[in-house]
Amino acid sequence: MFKRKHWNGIVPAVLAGVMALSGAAYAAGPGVQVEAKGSVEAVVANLKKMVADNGMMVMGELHQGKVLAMTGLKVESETVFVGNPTVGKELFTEEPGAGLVVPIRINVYADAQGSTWVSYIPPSEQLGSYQNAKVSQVAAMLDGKLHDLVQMLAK
Amino acid sequence: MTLRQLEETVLSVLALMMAGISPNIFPVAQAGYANMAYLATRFLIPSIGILVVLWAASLARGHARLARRLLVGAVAGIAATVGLEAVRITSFHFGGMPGDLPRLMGVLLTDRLMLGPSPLSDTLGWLYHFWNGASFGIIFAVLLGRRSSAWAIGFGQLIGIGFLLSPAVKALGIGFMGSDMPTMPLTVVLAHLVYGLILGWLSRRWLQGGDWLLAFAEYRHSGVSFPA
Repeated sequence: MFKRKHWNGIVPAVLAGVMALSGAAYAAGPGVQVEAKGSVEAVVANLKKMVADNGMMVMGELHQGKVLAMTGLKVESETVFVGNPTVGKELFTEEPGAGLVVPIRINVYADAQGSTWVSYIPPSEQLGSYQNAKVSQVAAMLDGKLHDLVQMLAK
Repeated sequence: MTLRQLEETVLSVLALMMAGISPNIFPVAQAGYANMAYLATRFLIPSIGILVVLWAASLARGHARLARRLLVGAVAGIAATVGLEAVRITSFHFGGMPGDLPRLMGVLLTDRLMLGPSPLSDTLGWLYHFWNGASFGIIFAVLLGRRSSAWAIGFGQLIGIGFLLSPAVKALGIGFMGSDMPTMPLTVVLAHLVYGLILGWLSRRWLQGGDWLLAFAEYRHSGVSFPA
């Protein structure tokens, strides 16, 4: 049978395959990148609503675009940190160092052509390195939730 | 020293201490000792209130010279900051500065660095920036009074060098005193040169006494009484 390490690598690969078949557009870059409908502001607003509908909550926001505007750079980028107290409790009970990975960051940005993209690193990619079956199980569940969430925003 | 002299000296020292709070909360926050919003509510706002009370007390107790220096220092400091800003904004516009300092101070004051500037944070950041200018103006006027432009230029450069050496610049990651971005220290030097020039010029125009407010020895040996 598959060792846990192999299983951790397969989950994101399968998800990527499913996404490729779903017809959404993908960009190069780390993690999962999906082209979304609307402006960065509109996508973030929709994302926040959908996060709640999918049993998670927005735990923090980082407006990179506005922050970088203070340096004179014009860029559209916002990051939303999403999590769930129940999932967090499970993860931190198993791995007190899980704070490096959760809450999960979802970035929404506009590329040079003005297209809006939603991107995230599947939790299984990072949580898998703990080599803990329970953590990997939670990670796979989070992967699925994020996949569903992002698909709802996809173009 | 007479009781009146002692009273004026105490009021002056208190005013200097209060004026010194505003310029220090930004570097203290950037050094990681405390959140700037916390420092603003616990120290900055009370210090402004106390300065107003000290000014009113100076007037009420007949220390017209000190009251005038507080007022002239604040107004001249604000005017000098306008000159400083003309240099800083121009440099920032052409990429000579790593960031927009008043906006950065605004997001730190409102504790929203992660969210970026808002109209409120921008307003507070600019008000804080100008209050810093006023505070340095008060320090100059109370300490030095109607001194020559050379004193004011030296005072302005001391502020600039102090800023370049502060944790605020270190936190920007542009090397020791901004050495990795030479336009930045150059801008700081030029901007504070303008600040000093305006501050010195206005102080000489608006203040009458050129004497030291805090030099007790000068009065003791010369026998000159304190002008009202």
